[in-house]
Amino acid sequence: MVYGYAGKILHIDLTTGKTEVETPNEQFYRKWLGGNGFVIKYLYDGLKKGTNPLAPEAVSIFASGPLSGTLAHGAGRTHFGAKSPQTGLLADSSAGGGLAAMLKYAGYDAVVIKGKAASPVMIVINNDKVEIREAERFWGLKTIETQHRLKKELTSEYKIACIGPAGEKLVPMTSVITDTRVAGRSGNGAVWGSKNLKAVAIYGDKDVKVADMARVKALYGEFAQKAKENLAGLSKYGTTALPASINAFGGMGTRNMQFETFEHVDKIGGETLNTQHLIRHRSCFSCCIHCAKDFKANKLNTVSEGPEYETQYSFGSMPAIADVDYVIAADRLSDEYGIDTISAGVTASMVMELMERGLLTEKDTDGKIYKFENGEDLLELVRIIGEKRGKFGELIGKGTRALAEKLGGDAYKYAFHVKGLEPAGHSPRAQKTMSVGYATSPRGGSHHDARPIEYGLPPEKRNTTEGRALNAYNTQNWTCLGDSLVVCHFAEKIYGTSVTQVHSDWINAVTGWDTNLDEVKTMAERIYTLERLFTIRESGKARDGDTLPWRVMNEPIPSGASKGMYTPQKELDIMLDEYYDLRGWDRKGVPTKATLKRLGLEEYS
Amino acid sequence: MKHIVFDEKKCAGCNLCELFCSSKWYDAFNPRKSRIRIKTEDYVEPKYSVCLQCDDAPCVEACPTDALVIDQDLERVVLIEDLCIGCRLCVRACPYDGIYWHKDYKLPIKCNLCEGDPECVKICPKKALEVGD
Repeated sequence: MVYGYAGKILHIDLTTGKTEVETPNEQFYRKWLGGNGFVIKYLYDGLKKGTNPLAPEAVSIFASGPLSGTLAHGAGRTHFGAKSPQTGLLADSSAGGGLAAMLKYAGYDAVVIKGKAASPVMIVINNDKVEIREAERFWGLKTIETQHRLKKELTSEYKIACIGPAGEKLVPMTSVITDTRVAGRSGNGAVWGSKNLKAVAIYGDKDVKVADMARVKALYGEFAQKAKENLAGLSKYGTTALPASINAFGGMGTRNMQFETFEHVDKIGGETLNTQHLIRHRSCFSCCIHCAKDFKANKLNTVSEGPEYETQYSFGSMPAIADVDYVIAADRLSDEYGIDTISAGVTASMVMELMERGLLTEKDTDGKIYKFENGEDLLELVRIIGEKRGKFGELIGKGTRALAEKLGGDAYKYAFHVKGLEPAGHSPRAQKTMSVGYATSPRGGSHHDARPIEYGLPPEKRNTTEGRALNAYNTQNWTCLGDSLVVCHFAEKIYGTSVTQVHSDWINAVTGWDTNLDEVKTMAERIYTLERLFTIRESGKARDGDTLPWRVMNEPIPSGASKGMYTPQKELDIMLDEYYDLRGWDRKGVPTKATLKRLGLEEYS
Repeated sequence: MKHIVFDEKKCAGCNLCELFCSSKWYDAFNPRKSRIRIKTEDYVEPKYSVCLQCDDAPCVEACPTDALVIDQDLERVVLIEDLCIGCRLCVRACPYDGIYWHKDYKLPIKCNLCEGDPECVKICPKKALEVGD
């Protein structure tokens, strides 16, 4: 047994109903670590090139890491992964809550699912007992009610992950929900839906043993002390205070990226939410920061855990909604249907801009007009995506790329996506780290590969390509490692945004290994590079796929503190060259044989 | 008597108390071995359960071997491990779901206030736990 791990990986074939337990050796764990590493390893090996993401033979994974179930920061987080029905590339997405910790307590490090059940089912794991149970009665239910009913049947001790009606209907931009936490991005929900898998319920009462308990407690103690001293704002507001500062910085995407400042930012900001809408603070399992909040939409008579910053952007500034009640309500509605708030909000904003420009008319939208600033219009767009209602609802559930392709003409200029995934609220025009970061992310527009680390810098220091490739490389390595451990990325506010000795310290204290900084960095590079190979295999593209939305490369920010900034192709090319050099990929963006050898990936060359 | 009191308005549901409790007494991270339990649910306040160290304790009444006794000094109900036969009558007798059983042990899992200095109270990040009457 390796300390920190359960030592078992559960394989489930929903076509045959058979389950198998794999017991990997220590070398496997030390090579692939957990979470993100397990996801890409089982996805790359388990899925044949070009497999339809919604075909029975597609693979769906969720995984814990060595730190899951311990005292580490957010060690209940779960990493989900599949081939994305939205982008056709990697769909890995991490959810808060406590599912992965419970998975470890049940005795498994990861679950690898393939096949398709003949009718709706759920997987019920109670320690060593794994059952595939009929779940017809839950099909069609929204996510919160699904979990309530399941807990009533099974006892409230279970941790549950489930999909909503949107995932059942195979809407591409769908999420998996656990408690009120969401693995939002790239469509893991539809993959579950395609397998007729409504839910997974887990209960475990086994130990998670660590190699050096005193050291683990000391590391936690240092973290908790620093969190108390430095992260009071995150505890108080969560990420909801960010709109004010990001708006002042000039990087708050507004009206579908026509602008990067939002005139009503205060109305959707942290002060408004905390003084008029806050019900309670919430925490993920094993986290002393408790950044999550339950908010009430006073006029609309609903509550939501959230919005957080990304949703204040996607349902607030992007569609120019100045009434935060609608942001809260759209957030809850998205969670209930099981759709991604970022992709849904950005796509809704594109619809609004296209209608304003006359590029989209009532003929295309099943007779409806959608306008910026209108909260009811936003809710309606969320509903038609979530319910896959009408031809238009079906179309926009695929995201901005599909909408632009369908319309043709100039519509592509207003489609804000990278590799088919809508970017989060960290502007690639206002910070070039995010330009090269989004362009090289295996997921596309994900803010959890490269991290936005240029906040606080004045525009003259930001309007340069210098050092941006290195920023992207370093932050991607950190997030890749964090998603493999699996811990929360907010730890970067204490440990920094690159892989450091403290990550190696945590791994050693938990596992008893003698890793050093070099080995841990190599782990991150290995996992990230296999993700790159997956991207190349599934898209047939390398450098030619590493691109940015039209607006980012052609239209300077028109106003605000970042006025004039954008990233023309010439600048992106400079950063890509530097980036590939750092990674040991050739100038076409393909990992070299020497790099694969260095990373122990010879079998993939 | 003294016992752990809980403020559900402060608790954010991190369950760190369970991890510290189980690791202190059983050298493992395992919420099912914690002597305090926090139940978190979406959109409602968390609930807790722990031994309330009752003055007139049903578990003491139920124990056939007098292994559970009132400790007047520390104002608590204490388990004398040598006397316990693992019959679990105390677990059943407790009306508050404050005593637990785990198959790995032959003794009930019950809060003893950490000999007067409870770990969960010390580490709770939200100060939602304290020793009270």
